[in-house]
Amino acid sequence: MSEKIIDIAATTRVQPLLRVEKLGKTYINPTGFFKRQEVIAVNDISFSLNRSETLAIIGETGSGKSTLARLLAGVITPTTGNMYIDGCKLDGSNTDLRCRSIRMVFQDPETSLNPRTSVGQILDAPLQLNTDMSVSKRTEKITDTLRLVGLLPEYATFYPPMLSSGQKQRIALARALILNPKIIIADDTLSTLDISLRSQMINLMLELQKTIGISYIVVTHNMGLVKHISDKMIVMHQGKCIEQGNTEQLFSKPTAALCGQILSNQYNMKKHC
Amino acid sequence: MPNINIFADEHILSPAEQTWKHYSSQQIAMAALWALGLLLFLLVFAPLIAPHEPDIRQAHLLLQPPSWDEQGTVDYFFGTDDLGRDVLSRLLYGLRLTFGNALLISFIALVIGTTIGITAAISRGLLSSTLHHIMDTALSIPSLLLAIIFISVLGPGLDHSLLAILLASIPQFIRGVYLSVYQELQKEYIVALKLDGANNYRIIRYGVFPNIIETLVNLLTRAISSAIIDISALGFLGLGAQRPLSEWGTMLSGATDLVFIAPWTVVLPGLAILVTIFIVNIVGESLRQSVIAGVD
Amino acid sequence: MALLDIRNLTIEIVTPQGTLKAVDKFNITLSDGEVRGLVGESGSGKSLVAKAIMGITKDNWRVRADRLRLGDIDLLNLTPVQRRRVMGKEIGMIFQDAAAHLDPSEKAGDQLAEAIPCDQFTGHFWQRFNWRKKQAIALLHKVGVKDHRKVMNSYPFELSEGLCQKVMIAMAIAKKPRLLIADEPTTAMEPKTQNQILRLLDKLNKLSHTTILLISHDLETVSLLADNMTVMYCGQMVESGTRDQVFNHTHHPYTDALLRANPDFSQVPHKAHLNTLAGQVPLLHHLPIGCRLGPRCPNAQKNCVITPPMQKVKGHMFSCHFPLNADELKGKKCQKK
Repeated sequence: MSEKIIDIAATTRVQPLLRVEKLGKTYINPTGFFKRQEVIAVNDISFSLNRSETLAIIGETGSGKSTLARLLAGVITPTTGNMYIDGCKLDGSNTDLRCRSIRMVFQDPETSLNPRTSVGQILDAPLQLNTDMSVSKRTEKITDTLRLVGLLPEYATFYPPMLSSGQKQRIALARALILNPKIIIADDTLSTLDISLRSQMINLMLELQKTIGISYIVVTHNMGLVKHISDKMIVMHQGKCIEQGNTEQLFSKPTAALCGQILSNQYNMKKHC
Repeated sequence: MPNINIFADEHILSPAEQTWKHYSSQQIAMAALWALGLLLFLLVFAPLIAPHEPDIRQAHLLLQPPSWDEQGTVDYFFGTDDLGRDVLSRLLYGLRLTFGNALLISFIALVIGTTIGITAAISRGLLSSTLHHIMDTALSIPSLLLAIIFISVLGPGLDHSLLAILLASIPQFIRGVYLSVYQELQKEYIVALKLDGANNYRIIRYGVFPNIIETLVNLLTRAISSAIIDISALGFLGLGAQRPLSEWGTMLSGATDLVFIAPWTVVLPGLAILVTIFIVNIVGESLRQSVIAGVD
Repeated sequence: MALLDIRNLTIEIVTPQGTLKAVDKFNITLSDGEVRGLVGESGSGKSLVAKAIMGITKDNWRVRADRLRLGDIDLLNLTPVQRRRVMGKEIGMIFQDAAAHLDPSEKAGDQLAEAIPCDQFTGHFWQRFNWRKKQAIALLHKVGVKDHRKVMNSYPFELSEGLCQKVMIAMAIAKKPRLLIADEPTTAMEPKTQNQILRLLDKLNKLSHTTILLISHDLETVSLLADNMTVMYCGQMVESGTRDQVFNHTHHPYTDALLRANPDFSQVPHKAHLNTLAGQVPLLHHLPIGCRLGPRCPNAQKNCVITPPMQKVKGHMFSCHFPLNADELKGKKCQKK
């Protein structure tokens, strides 16, 4: 009963697209016969994300940012906390809602595409499993999505080993886009790409954000990238969120933790100038 | 904008077509494939091709040499053995008993082993652990020894020996399939498929299966060779096919004391076993390399 | 005398779809003690060049060159035994994903000790006993690992990527090679670790006088270290010169595009469109005729269907029909090759 009142009140304000409350993940490793060791990978993360916004998650290796990305995508089930999309709580019963609203692009394009299935089959699988479109409609959708990421429709008959890594990354993005999701999670997708490909992917992602209104959650170590594309950011350290807020504000008034990261990246610019 | 197909003249080969293209470019592999085809043809049509019945004894034609010898005749192309039976016909019927049975056992073991292996790889916890330990124990004993143990319980005979070899080959399949399916499940494209909403069946059928074909070909080749050797070995020891069946191992055991008087009775069944295993291994290994070549 | 002299290196790959020319007439000359950067996108063939120098080619590659010499050793006509001797002793190589290139079943200390050659031992026979271990510890200190005990007793999967890369560098320099080829050693690493590794390479170059060939796709990273740079595109060398020449007096449009693609983000407005070349790197199956940058080049004209010849001006080589900063070339003497 009380939940209904809260819902009615919520609809009168603008709802955030994604709301995460106290999300956490603890791994239990058996170390001895009866002993167990608890490893807290992610602890008590809360944030919210609106439409057409980009959230950047930064941190060193081992800070739990990949785990957080996977929790948000649904690869790992959280031990604590809740996620809400447009007010709807995500749990075991509505996995198809999650599939359609949040999609993920993986880090390494070489291993995230099945080498023995053609590109058309890779893009057809999510459509077959989540929609009731007919064969012709599906082919049309695949062609449209390939055009959207800048590839010719003929690529649907190609196999992943024949493609370059830039094209593979575009197909991974197409696979994420094909279900018209509201949020796309990019788990360090841009660090393995070359500079010009990276710029092209960034332009593509920004354009999609302007035209379709997709929100992004980007996990990265590149500070320049964070400054350029993100509206909000979260800094993680050893599983906890130590800094959170608007990107511009944080860059203009950095606190101690953020300073270390920014400076270590700026070293590159200063050395041989 | 009209849909112009720029790559219309280029036909992209599917993995199966690429495998065939690679395989057919190797001469030795193609020769072995033809030889295998011949063996299969003889297997199916043995009763129609064999010139005589395998167990008709002709007392006046004992130990006739093969046709290329001065005293041999073309009627009995490979000569006769010590009971006057035609060696060629016995070899042809023996092809069914040795090679045919080996193929049958290997395919049944493939089906059963793959099913259990895939189930073990998907499951977690107690079931997986139990299966793992049972298989490890079963695999630590060599297959021939395991087959002999089974026969000592069941008694000698061709049917019992086939059952014993089947039970001894299944653990190899389970272990091999389990390991490769487990490795595949760790890969990111399987995670992506799971995120697309696929159930376990789809993941195995479309995600995992095309990538474990190389392992299956490898396991099948080894299983067939191993089965041929085991069937012949059991026949030689007298624990498998009993006389008067013309299984190759049994033929060998009956002819050991004739090796100096009538060498063809020993050499020819031995050569038959050798050649069959050789052909199976060449075809299997070339097929395995062709399957991998497509993804390179 | 030049340490490494390569002239007209061509690498062809035989595939079911036909023979593809992956590297086409590549030239490079390294003098003793220099740090050279080789920059190119993925698919440009830079890793193939490194592997051809090292001798670790696949069966379906055909390597041809007019000259492929390391000092006075002709690398083209070596028997496999001689090749193996050259590989470890004269040339060392480090790779991108360090943890994957170390043996996962042996401890890092054992692998490092194994890499130290026997003939470096000088001293009395009773000092032989713990000599390898001591050398391994010395090498670890040389590459900047302070806690050698932890590294010696750990397996590669227990070490961080920075430590793994340092172990790999230590193994590469154990035989004191004249040339060290670094094939994208710091790609996909965190900035902090990246800086450590680059500083280490710099130190090795200055102290041990090791020549380094640094291969990367990132022009900025390479420019921190390298005195001279070579830019590759689609298997061909498009520009080569000193750092100043390549950065400040760029002649080839591709180098210019690379420089502009990594802007200083504090100057670009938030969420603005970045400057890039249109199109993608062509697949090896469908290479354009003439200049390979033709379809993507903003300055392309009709002449670009003919392959541009390599021009050399005061040590600055480039191959373009319509080079940028062309007014600087007008007064200078051109050598066309």
